[in-house]
Amino acid sequence: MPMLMSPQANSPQSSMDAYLAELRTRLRALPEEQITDIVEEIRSHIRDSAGSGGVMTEAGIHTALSRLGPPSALAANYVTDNLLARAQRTRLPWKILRGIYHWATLSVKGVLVFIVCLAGYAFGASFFIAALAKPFNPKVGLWLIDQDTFSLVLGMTSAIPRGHELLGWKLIPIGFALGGGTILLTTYFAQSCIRRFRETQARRRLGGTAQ
Amino acid sequence: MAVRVLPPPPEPADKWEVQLRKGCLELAILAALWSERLYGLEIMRRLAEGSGLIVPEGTVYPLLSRLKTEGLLSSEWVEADAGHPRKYYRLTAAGRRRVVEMARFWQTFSASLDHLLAPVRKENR
Repeated sequence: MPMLMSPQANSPQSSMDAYLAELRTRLRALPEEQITDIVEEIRSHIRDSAGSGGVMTEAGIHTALSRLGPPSALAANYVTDNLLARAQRTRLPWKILRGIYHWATLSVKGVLVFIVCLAGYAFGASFFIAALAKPFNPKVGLWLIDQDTFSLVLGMTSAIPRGHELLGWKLIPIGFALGGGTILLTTYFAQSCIRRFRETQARRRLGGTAQ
Repeated sequence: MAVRVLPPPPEPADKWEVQLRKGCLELAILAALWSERLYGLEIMRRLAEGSGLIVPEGTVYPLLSRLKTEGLLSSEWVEADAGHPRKYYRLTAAGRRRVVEMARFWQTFSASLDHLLAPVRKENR
Protein backbone atom coordinates (compact mmCIF):
# COMPACT_ATOMS: atom_id res chain seq x y z
CA MET A 1 0.00 0.00 0.00
CA PRO A 2 1.78 3.20 -1.16
CA MET A 3 0.06 5.29 1.49
CA LEU A 4 2.11 3.60 4.19
CA MET A 5 5.36 4.63 2.45
CA SER A 6 4.51 8.33 2.45
CA PRO A 7 6.23 10.77 4.83
CA GLN A 8 3.05 10.98 6.92
CA ALA A 9 3.15 7.25 7.52
CA ASN A 10 2.85 7.78 11.23
CA SER A 11 0.23 10.49 11.15
CA PRO A 12 -2.89 9.64 13.16
CA GLN A 13 -5.08 9.78 10.05
CA SER A 14 -3.01 7.15 8.30
CA SER A 15 -3.01 4.74 11.21
CA MET A 16 -6.82 4.96 11.14
CA ASP A 17 -6.85 4.40 7.36
CA ALA A 18 -4.52 1.42 7.68
CA TYR A 19 -6.75 -0.07 10.37
CA LEU A 20 -9.87 0.36 8.24
CA ALA A 21 -8.17 -1.04 5.13
CA GLU A 22 -7.15 -4.13 7.07
CA LEU A 23 -10.68 -4.44 8.47
CA ARG A 24 -12.14 -4.20 4.97
CA THR A 25 -9.87 -6.99 3.72
CA ARG A 26 -10.78 -9.25 6.61
CA LEU A 27 -14.52 -8.71 6.06
CA ARG A 28 -14.38 -9.87 2.43
CA ALA A 29 -16.62 -12.91 3.02
CA LEU A 30 -19.59 -10.55 3.53
CA PRO A 31 -21.61 -8.79 0.82
CA GLU A 32 -19.91 -5.61 -0.44
CA GLU A 33 -22.74 -3.36 0.71
CA GLN A 34 -22.47 -4.68 4.25
CA ILE A 35 -18.67 -4.32 4.28
CA THR A 36 -18.89 -0.63 3.38
CA ASP A 37 -21.58 -0.12 6.00
CA ILE A 38 -19.42 -1.68 8.72
CA VAL A 39 -16.21 0.11 7.73
CA GLU A 40 -17.96 3.49 7.58
CA GLU A 41 -19.58 2.89 10.96
CA ILE A 42 -16.21 2.08 12.55
CA ARG A 43 -14.68 5.16 10.87
CA SER A 44 -17.44 7.29 12.30
CA HIS A 45 -16.89 5.70 15.71
CA ILE A 46 -13.14 6.43 15.65
CA ARG A 47 -13.77 10.06 14.63
CA ASP A 48 -16.27 10.48 17.45
CA SER A 49 -14.20 8.88 20.15
CA ALA A 50 -10.71 10.00 19.13
CA GLY A 51 -11.14 13.72 19.34
CA SER A 52 -13.05 16.65 20.64
CA GLY A 53 -14.60 19.39 18.53
CA GLY A 54 -13.90 17.53 15.30
CA VAL A 55 -10.11 17.45 15.71
CA MET A 56 -8.59 14.03 16.21
CA THR A 57 -5.50 13.68 18.32
CA GLU A 58 -2.86 11.01 17.84
CA ALA A 59 -3.32 9.72 21.38
CA GLY A 60 -7.09 9.70 20.87
CA ILE A 61 -6.83 7.57 17.75
CA HIS A 62 -4.37 5.25 19.41
CA THR A 63 -6.75 4.68 22.34
CA ALA A 64 -9.77 4.26 20.07
CA LEU A 65 -7.99 1.69 17.90
CA SER A 66 -6.68 -0.30 20.84
CA ARG A 67 -10.16 -0.35 22.41
CA LEU A 68 -11.57 -1.75 19.17
CA GLY A 69 -9.01 -4.54 19.27
CA PRO A 70 -7.04 -5.94 16.31
CA PRO A 71 -8.90 -5.63 12.96
CA SER A 72 -8.69 -9.39 12.46
CA ALA A 73 -10.50 -10.08 15.75
CA LEU A 74 -13.11 -7.39 15.11
CA ALA A 75 -13.75 -8.76 11.61
CA ALA A 76 -14.03 -12.33 12.91
CA ASN A 77 -16.72 -11.15 15.35
CA TYR A 78 -18.73 -9.88 12.40
CA VAL A 79 -18.09 -12.50 9.76
CA THR A 80 -18.53 -15.87 11.40
CA ASP A 81 -21.58 -14.94 13.35
CA ASN A 82 -23.13 -13.13 10.41
CA LEU A 83 -22.74 -16.02 7.98
CA LEU A 84 -23.86 -18.56 10.56
CA ALA A 85 -26.85 -16.42 11.52
CA ARG A 86 -27.89 -16.42 7.85
CA ALA A 87 -27.27 -20.17 7.63
CA GLN A 88 -29.42 -20.70 10.69
CA ARG A 89 -32.39 -18.86 9.23
CA THR A 90 -32.29 -20.17 5.68
CA ARG A 91 -33.39 -23.50 4.22
CA LEU A 92 -31.09 -23.18 1.23
CA PRO A 93 -28.34 -25.83 1.32
CA TRP A 94 -25.69 -23.66 -0.39
CA LYS A 95 -26.16 -20.83 2.10
CA ILE A 96 -25.93 -23.31 4.95
CA LEU A 97 -22.78 -24.80 3.45
CA ARG A 98 -21.29 -21.34 2.95
CA GLY A 99 -21.75 -20.52 6.62
CA ILE A 100 -20.31 -23.84 7.74
CA TYR A 101 -17.42 -23.45 5.31
CA HIS A 102 -16.44 -20.29 7.14
CA TRP A 103 -16.79 -22.04 10.48
CA ALA A 104 -14.52 -24.79 9.08
CA THR A 105 -11.74 -22.23 8.59
CA LEU A 106 -11.86 -21.60 12.34
CA SER A 107 -12.05 -25.01 13.97
CA VAL A 108 -11.72 -28.75 13.48
CA LYS A 109 -15.29 -29.22 14.62
CA GLY A 110 -16.37 -26.94 11.79
CA VAL A 111 -14.43 -29.08 9.30
CA LEU A 112 -16.18 -32.23 10.54
CA VAL A 113 -19.63 -30.66 10.37
CA PHE A 114 -18.82 -29.37 6.89
CA ILE A 115 -17.79 -32.82 5.65
CA VAL A 116 -20.87 -34.51 7.13
CA CYS A 117 -23.19 -31.90 5.64
CA LEU A 118 -21.52 -31.95 2.24
CA ALA A 119 -21.84 -35.76 2.14
CA GLY A 120 -25.46 -35.58 3.34
CA TYR A 121 -26.47 -33.06 0.69
CA ALA A 122 -24.59 -34.94 -2.06
CA PHE A 123 -26.28 -38.22 -1.11
CA GLY A 124 -29.72 -36.62 -0.85
CA ALA A 125 -29.33 -34.69 -4.10
CA SER A 126 -28.24 -37.84 -6.02
CA PHE A 127 -31.41 -39.71 -5.14
CA PHE A 128 -33.56 -36.67 -5.72
CA ILE A 129 -32.05 -36.11 -9.17
CA ALA A 130 -32.34 -39.83 -9.99
CA ALA A 131 -36.05 -39.75 -9.17
CA LEU A 132 -36.50 -36.67 -11.38
CA ALA A 133 -34.59 -38.19 -14.29
CA LYS A 134 -36.12 -41.68 -14.22
CA PRO A 135 -39.15 -40.86 -16.43
CA PHE A 136 -36.82 -39.54 -19.16
CA ASN A 137 -34.15 -42.21 -19.10
CA PRO A 138 -34.75 -45.83 -18.12
CA LYS A 139 -31.00 -46.37 -17.47
CA VAL A 140 -31.33 -44.17 -14.41
CA GLY A 141 -31.62 -46.32 -11.34
CA LEU A 142 -29.91 -48.15 -8.56
CA TRP A 143 -27.89 -50.93 -10.17
CA LEU A 144 -26.48 -53.99 -8.47
CA ILE A 145 -23.25 -54.51 -10.41
CA ASP A 146 -21.63 -57.44 -8.59
CA GLN A 147 -22.56 -59.38 -5.54
CA ASP A 148 -22.18 -56.31 -3.34
CA THR A 149 -21.34 -53.31 -5.51
CA PHE A 150 -24.13 -50.80 -5.87
CA SER A 151 -24.09 -48.01 -8.36
CA LEU A 152 -26.57 -45.18 -8.63
CA VAL A 153 -26.75 -44.32 -12.32
CA LEU A 154 -27.99 -40.80 -12.94
CA GLY A 155 -28.24 -40.99 -16.72
CA MET A 156 -24.87 -39.43 -17.57
CA THR A 157 -23.50 -42.66 -18.95
CA SER A 158 -24.11 -43.90 -22.50
CA ALA A 159 -23.16 -47.49 -21.72
CA ILE A 160 -25.85 -49.74 -20.36
CA PRO A 161 -24.65 -50.79 -16.92
CA ARG A 162 -23.97 -54.45 -16.25
CA GLY A 163 -25.95 -56.18 -13.55
CA HIS A 164 -29.58 -55.44 -12.94
CA GLU A 165 -31.58 -52.49 -11.76
CA LEU A 166 -33.09 -52.96 -8.34
CA LEU A 167 -35.94 -50.54 -7.91
CA GLY A 168 -37.52 -50.00 -11.31
CA TRP A 169 -40.25 -47.36 -11.29
CA LYS A 170 -40.34 -47.51 -7.52
CA LEU A 171 -37.16 -45.39 -7.75
CA ILE A 172 -39.36 -42.34 -8.23
CA PRO A 173 -41.20 -42.39 -4.88
CA ILE A 174 -38.23 -43.90 -3.04
CA GLY A 175 -35.80 -41.38 -4.58
CA PHE A 176 -37.95 -38.40 -3.66
CA ALA A 177 -38.54 -39.68 -0.14
CA LEU A 178 -34.95 -40.77 0.53
CA GLY A 179 -33.39 -37.76 -1.21
CA GLY A 180 -35.75 -35.22 0.34
CA GLY A 181 -35.50 -36.89 3.73
CA THR A 182 -31.71 -36.88 3.70
CA ILE A 183 -31.63 -33.23 2.65
CA LEU A 184 -34.04 -32.26 5.42
CA LEU A 185 -32.15 -34.33 7.97
CA THR A 186 -28.84 -32.77 6.92
CA THR A 187 -30.36 -29.30 7.21
CA TYR A 188 -31.70 -30.13 10.66
CA PHE A 189 -28.32 -31.50 11.73
CA ALA A 190 -26.42 -28.48 10.32
CA GLN A 191 -28.67 -25.97 11.99
CA SER A 192 -28.59 -27.64 15.37
CA CYS A 193 -24.75 -27.74 15.19
CA ILE A 194 -24.68 -24.08 14.18
CA ARG A 195 -27.05 -23.12 16.98
CA ARG A 196 -24.92 -24.89 19.57
CA PHE A 197 -21.71 -23.38 18.21
CA ARG A 198 -23.17 -19.86 18.24
CA GLU A 199 -24.32 -20.28 21.82
CA THR A 200 -20.85 -21.39 22.88
CA GLN A 201 -19.31 -18.44 21.02
CA ALA A 202 -21.69 -16.00 22.67
CA ARG A 203 -20.79 -17.38 26.09
CA ARG A 204 -17.08 -17.19 25.29
CA ARG A 205 -17.38 -13.60 24.14
CA LEU A 206 -19.13 -12.75 27.39
CA GLY A 207 -16.53 -14.41 29.56
CA GLY A 208 -13.52 -13.40 27.51
CA THR A 209 -13.77 -9.74 26.74
CA ALA A 210 -15.67 -7.97 29.50
CA GLN A 211 -13.52 -7.31 32.49
CA MET B 1 17.21 -28.63 33.66
CA ALA B 2 15.29 -26.43 36.00
CA VAL B 3 11.59 -26.37 35.41
CA ARG B 4 10.08 -23.09 36.25
CA VAL B 5 6.45 -23.21 37.25
CA LEU B 6 4.59 -20.33 35.74
CA PRO B 7 1.99 -18.67 37.91
CA PRO B 8 -1.56 -19.40 36.76
CA PRO B 9 -3.04 -16.71 34.51
CA PRO B 10 -5.02 -14.15 36.49
CA GLU B 11 -8.69 -15.07 36.75
CA PRO B 12 -11.17 -12.45 35.56
CA ALA B 13 -12.38 -10.44 38.55
CA ASP B 14 -15.47 -12.56 38.94
CA LYS B 15 -16.42 -14.93 36.18
CA TRP B 16 -20.02 -15.23 37.27
CA GLU B 17 -20.47 -11.49 37.35
CA VAL B 18 -18.95 -11.13 33.88
CA GLN B 19 -21.22 -13.84 32.49
CA LEU B 20 -24.25 -12.24 34.03
CA ARG B 21 -23.46 -8.83 32.58
CA LYS B 22 -22.86 -10.33 29.18
CA GLY B 23 -26.09 -12.23 29.31
CA CYS B 24 -27.95 -9.00 29.93
CA LEU B 25 -26.18 -7.07 27.17
CA GLU B 26 -28.73 -7.77 24.48
CA LEU B 27 -31.62 -6.72 26.71
CA ALA B 28 -29.70 -3.61 27.81
CA ILE B 29 -29.03 -2.52 24.22
CA LEU B 30 -32.62 -3.08 23.12
CA ALA B 31 -33.92 -1.28 26.20
CA ALA B 32 -31.61 1.70 25.63
CA LEU B 33 -33.24 2.13 22.22
CA TRP B 34 -36.81 1.98 23.55
CA SER B 35 -37.62 5.68 23.36
CA GLU B 36 -35.21 7.08 20.77
CA ARG B 37 -32.75 6.26 18.02
CA LEU B 38 -29.08 6.25 19.03
CA TYR B 39 -25.71 5.62 17.35
CA GLY B 40 -23.17 3.07 18.56
CA LEU B 41 -21.08 5.29 20.82
CA GLU B 42 -24.21 6.80 22.38
CA ILE B 43 -25.54 3.33 23.13
CA MET B 44 -22.29 2.42 24.90
CA ARG B 45 -22.35 5.65 26.91
CA ARG B 46 -25.98 5.05 27.81
CA LEU B 47 -25.14 1.55 29.07
CA ALA B 48 -22.16 2.77 31.09
CA GLU B 49 -24.18 5.58 32.73
CA GLY B 50 -27.42 3.73 33.22
CA SER B 51 -26.28 0.32 34.33
CA GLY B 52 -22.52 0.30 34.80
CA LEU B 53 -22.28 -2.07 31.83
CA ILE B 54 -18.90 -1.23 30.37
CA VAL B 55 -18.63 -3.16 27.17
CA PRO B 56 -15.77 -3.18 24.67
CA GLU B 57 -16.49 -1.65 21.26
CA GLY B 58 -15.26 -4.80 19.56
CA THR B 59 -18.26 -6.61 21.09
CA VAL B 60 -20.97 -3.99 20.73
CA TYR B 61 -20.67 -3.21 17.02
CA PRO B 62 -20.84 -6.82 15.83
CA LEU B 63 -23.72 -7.41 18.25
CA LEU B 64 -25.61 -4.43 16.79
CA SER B 65 -25.02 -5.88 13.35
CA ARG B 66 -26.37 -9.25 14.49
CA LEU B 67 -29.49 -7.68 16.03
CA LYS B 68 -30.04 -5.93 12.73
CA THR B 69 -29.64 -9.16 10.76
CA GLU B 70 -32.17 -10.74 13.10
CA GLY B 71 -34.62 -7.99 12.26
CA LEU B 72 -34.80 -6.53 15.78
CA LEU B 73 -33.09 -3.26 14.82
CA SER B 74 -33.02 -1.09 11.74
CA SER B 75 -30.36 1.49 10.96
CA GLU B 76 -30.00 4.72 9.01
CA TRP B 77 -27.15 7.08 8.20
CA VAL B 78 -27.66 10.63 9.39
CA GLU B 79 -25.48 13.65 8.56
CA ALA B 80 -24.35 15.10 11.89
CA ASP B 81 -23.00 18.47 13.02
CA ALA B 82 -19.72 16.69 13.78
CA GLY B 83 -18.94 16.84 10.05
CA HIS B 84 -19.30 13.13 9.38
CA PRO B 85 -22.36 10.89 9.16
CA ARG B 86 -23.41 8.62 12.00
CA LYS B 87 -25.24 5.33 11.86
CA TYR B 88 -28.34 5.44 14.03
CA TYR B 89 -30.18 2.39 15.24
CA ARG B 90 -33.83 2.09 16.16
CA LEU B 91 -36.08 -0.77 17.27
CA THR B 92 -38.24 -2.44 14.66
CA ALA B 93 -41.73 -3.68 15.53
CA ALA B 94 -40.24 -7.15 16.13
CA GLY B 95 -37.56 -5.54 18.31
CA ARG B 96 -40.18 -3.79 20.44
CA ARG B 97 -42.05 -7.06 20.92
CA ARG B 98 -38.82 -8.77 21.89
CA VAL B 99 -37.94 -6.14 24.57
CA VAL B 100 -41.43 -6.42 26.04
CA GLU B 101 -41.07 -10.21 26.26
CA MET B 102 -37.58 -9.94 27.75
CA ALA B 103 -38.67 -7.29 30.25
CA ARG B 104 -41.59 -9.46 31.33
CA PHE B 105 -39.34 -12.46 31.83
CA TRP B 106 -36.78 -10.36 33.68
CA GLN B 107 -39.48 -9.08 36.04
CA THR B 108 -40.70 -12.55 36.98
CA PHE B 109 -37.22 -13.98 37.20
CA SER B 110 -35.72 -11.23 39.36
CA ALA B 111 -38.76 -11.23 41.65
CA SER B 112 -38.46 -14.94 42.34
CA LEU B 113 -34.70 -14.69 42.84
CA ASP B 114 -35.23 -11.79 45.23
CA HIS B 115 -37.62 -13.96 47.16
CA LEU B 116 -34.95 -16.67 47.49
CA LEU B 117 -32.32 -14.14 48.49
CA ALA B 118 -34.40 -12.49 51.20
CA PRO B 119 -33.11 -14.71 54.07
CA VAL B 120 -29.50 -14.31 52.88
CA ARG B 121 -29.80 -10.55 52.94
CA LYS B 122 -31.52 -10.60 56.32
CA GLU B 123 -28.67 -12.46 58.00
CA ASN B 124 -25.89 -10.43 56.39
CA ARG B 125 -27.21 -6.98 56.94
